[in-house]
Amino acid sequence: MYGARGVLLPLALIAALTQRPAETAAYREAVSQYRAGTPVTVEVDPGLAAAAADASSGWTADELAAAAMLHTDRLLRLAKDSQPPRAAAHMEAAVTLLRAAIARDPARTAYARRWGSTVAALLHAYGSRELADHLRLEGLAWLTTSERAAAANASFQLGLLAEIRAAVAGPLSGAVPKKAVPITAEARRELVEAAGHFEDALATDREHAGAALHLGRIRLIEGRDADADRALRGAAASADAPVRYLALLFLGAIAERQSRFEDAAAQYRAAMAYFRWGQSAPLALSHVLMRIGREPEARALLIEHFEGVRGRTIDPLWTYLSDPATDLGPALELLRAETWR
Amino acid sequence: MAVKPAAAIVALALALALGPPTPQFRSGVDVVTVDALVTLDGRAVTGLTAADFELRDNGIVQEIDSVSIDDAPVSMLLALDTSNSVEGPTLDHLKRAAVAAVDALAPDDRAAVMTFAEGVTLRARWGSPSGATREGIMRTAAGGSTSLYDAAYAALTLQDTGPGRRSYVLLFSDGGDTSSWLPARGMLERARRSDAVVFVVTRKAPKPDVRLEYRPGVELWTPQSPAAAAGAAMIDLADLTGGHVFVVQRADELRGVFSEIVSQFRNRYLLRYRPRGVDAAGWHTIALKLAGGRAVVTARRGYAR
Repeated sequence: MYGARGVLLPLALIAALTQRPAETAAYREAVSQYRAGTPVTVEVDPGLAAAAADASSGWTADELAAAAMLHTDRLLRLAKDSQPPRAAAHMEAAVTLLRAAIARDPARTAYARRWGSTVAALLHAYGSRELADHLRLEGLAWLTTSERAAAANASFQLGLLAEIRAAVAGPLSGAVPKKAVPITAEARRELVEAAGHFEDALATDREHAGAALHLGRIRLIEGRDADADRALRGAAASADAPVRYLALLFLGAIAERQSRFEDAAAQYRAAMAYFRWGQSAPLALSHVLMRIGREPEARALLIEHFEGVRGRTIDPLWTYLSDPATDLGPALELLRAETWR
Repeated sequence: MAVKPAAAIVALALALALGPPTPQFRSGVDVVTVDALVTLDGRAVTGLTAADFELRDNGIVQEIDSVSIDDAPVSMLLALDTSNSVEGPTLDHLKRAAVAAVDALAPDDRAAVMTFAEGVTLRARWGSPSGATREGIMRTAAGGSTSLYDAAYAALTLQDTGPGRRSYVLLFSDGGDTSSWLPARGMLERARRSDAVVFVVTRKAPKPDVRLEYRPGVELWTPQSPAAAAGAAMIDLADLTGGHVFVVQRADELRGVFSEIVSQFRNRYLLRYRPRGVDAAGWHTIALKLAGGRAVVTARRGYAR
């Protein structure tokens, strides 16, 4: 049902390119507002996406990703309101725009993959199973994954689930323990299992930045700083913004633990520079500055941070141990934030 | 003057053994302020003078330069938990309580408003209690998890630095921390270096942080963690700064408690002294008591330099 829309795209493109320059300008303005964090109250026409996506449009990868998120918000609202045909049009628009964003900047590929899994899970949760399945099976079919990468990803997912089990250290719904129990033997076993899966993922695909990040954190909490450092430096080279941000943050934590405070501050600063909407990096930096007696700086940087983000804060740390099937709110908000300016 | 080689060697050895001279406070330069509440049978005691107090800094009795009550303007930072758990009527009560606290301030006092769920948001910057402060409170919505330690750290870091003011943090939280980067230890470290007094208002008595292991930061299972998790961090925070923990049973009690806290600001003493005979650096334990009588003194437990 929705697959037929693919053949309509050239017509939409022609229409948008030749007949609606005013609408296209308004559309770009709406995207600009979205990137600035201003609520976009006007309706956005999914038919204009093709023109923006066209190689000659002059749109940047960041603008295209923001436009995709603008349509994603509309898609999810319509899916919630049980209006599948209108929702499908926005979904097609978002996919078109993301594809164009990747053509401009291949580093957006990891972003598009996260978008696909998060949006499909949300659509499923909203009862729009047909749309979710279409997105998974056809909408993003062009976003091919090699067998090697797929195998690495399967190992990564197993590792993530074990790491979540280790972190929870027992069912959250269980009785609250009377004493603090920071670690249990069961949790330690889960952590070892998680590390094994992440190592498998990296053995299959040494470019798997997520596996490097999670392996690095496990080595960090095990106190194996050299191993952690090696894995995290790999992750810090990733083009995927949340992975890179967290890797820099964890590298800062290693440096801080080793009393290399200036190095720690440099890593936290790098994390802030790379992703300005996070909260952990400015707090970590402020805290380390306080520790070395630079109190006025510790205070000034927090003021600057709060005034800069104006309440628009989303930290990749809040999605670090998210169950990809259920914890979707922060993942979606992070996707939005990665298009803000 | 000629120095005998043997004497020089002895002097050098002594110098090496003793290490570099420990810096001490220079008299008249570093003033320490201690914000204290004196109560007898639960009621504030007023009318005391410097002669009524005995103050020790790292065990050394100090001369108190001044004691004042109710003449220094107040700077109050409201840090309000707006996570999922306060959604609904609790949030309405919380907003009304916060506005009442702002309304109870004097015109020369100052206020700032911060809210927190996962994210910490500065809703109103430091300024006179005004419409903007109230607006900052009223436009708050609830949702998300709780970065309690991050918020407490930020509140203490952003305290008003204006001279001659009393700094207070009124922190409301409905539960434990679930999403901070900073561990409780980081927040307490901040408190040790702060002049602000923290009043914690909560709907559940603070407990040890049993869910520490769920937080995704990096300080989970390091050897320090069990100790960090052993105490109820928010009780430590209030205790360390000379504040208090208020536990309410129902949300409609918040307004009364907030107002009571603000009225307590007016009955607190502000003591100033210049430390003498103690090292400048490191942690200083403060012991403050009345020279006589059975009244209870509540004040910060110390400070870090």
